[in-house]
Amino acid sequence: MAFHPLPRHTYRITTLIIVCLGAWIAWGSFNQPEAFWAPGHLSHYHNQIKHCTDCHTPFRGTLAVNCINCHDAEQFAGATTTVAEFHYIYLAQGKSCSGCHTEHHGGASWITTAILNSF
Amino acid sequence: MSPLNRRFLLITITILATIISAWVVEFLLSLSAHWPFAHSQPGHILGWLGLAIILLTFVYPWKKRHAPSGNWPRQWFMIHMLCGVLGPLLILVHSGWHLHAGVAVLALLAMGGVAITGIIGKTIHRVALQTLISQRRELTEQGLSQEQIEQTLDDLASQESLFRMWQVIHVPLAIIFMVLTILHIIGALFFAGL
Repeated sequence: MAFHPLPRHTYRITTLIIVCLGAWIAWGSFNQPEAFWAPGHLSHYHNQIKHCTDCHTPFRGTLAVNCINCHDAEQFAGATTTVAEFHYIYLAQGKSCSGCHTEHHGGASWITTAILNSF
Repeated sequence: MSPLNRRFLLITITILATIISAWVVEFLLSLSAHWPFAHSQPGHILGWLGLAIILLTFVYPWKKRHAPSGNWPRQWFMIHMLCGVLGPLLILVHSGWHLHAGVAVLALLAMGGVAITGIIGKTIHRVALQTLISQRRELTEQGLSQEQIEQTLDDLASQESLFRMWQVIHVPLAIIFMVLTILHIIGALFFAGL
């Protein structure tokens, strides 16, 4: 069976559609990144965060160093001794915060895995 | 109800049942994990597996363009159809009904469009082939062999205007789907890490 190529204008129109889509996605990535890229809304704990890179390091995920920018020793000083000590030891071991904490599951969601698993 | 309408209804019900089943599977998998299956490591792996199977569907169009002596790669067409259904099915389980990220949703819609137009195209080709029955009679009277007649009719069916119109929808949609999928993968790796 012989191969019958598509009309040339088909590829031109397809390219135009892809360029328009790309432009729209590029605009959205700067103006409404959560709507275009996030798997869900941020919880009410973090809904004041406006920039994705406050928590996400490009191609490296959510590193503890990003969390510590806000959740520093000063903030933990207000917590119970057990909570502060647990987090201090946990971070000293070089572990990731995302081992117990998650996000982007909606405004009313819990963000601590231990709490989620207890249900 | 005519045979064609009955066939159309059966295919539509099968497609809907398949989509719902995939989402039920994802829902059950998400229950045990307390968050969407797609956000778990097995969910990500299923996405990669679905992509690998979908990429196999592109072998047939490539072979069709480069086949020696215009031989139709029938076996690769069978693989194209099988992977064109199985791959999207796995992606449906990977995504579930968690439609939030715009780029991922667009890629999913494009994928659905490609799969469904693929099923429609098979039907259109079959209908086009059936309308060539009188052509078959002519070719038989010309003394051609059975294989030559089948190949000529397949060729004529592919050139039939409705089938050509369908190709103009299915092929560009597949290209747009791949571009959106690449963007989705880059985005997922950008935010979640390599």
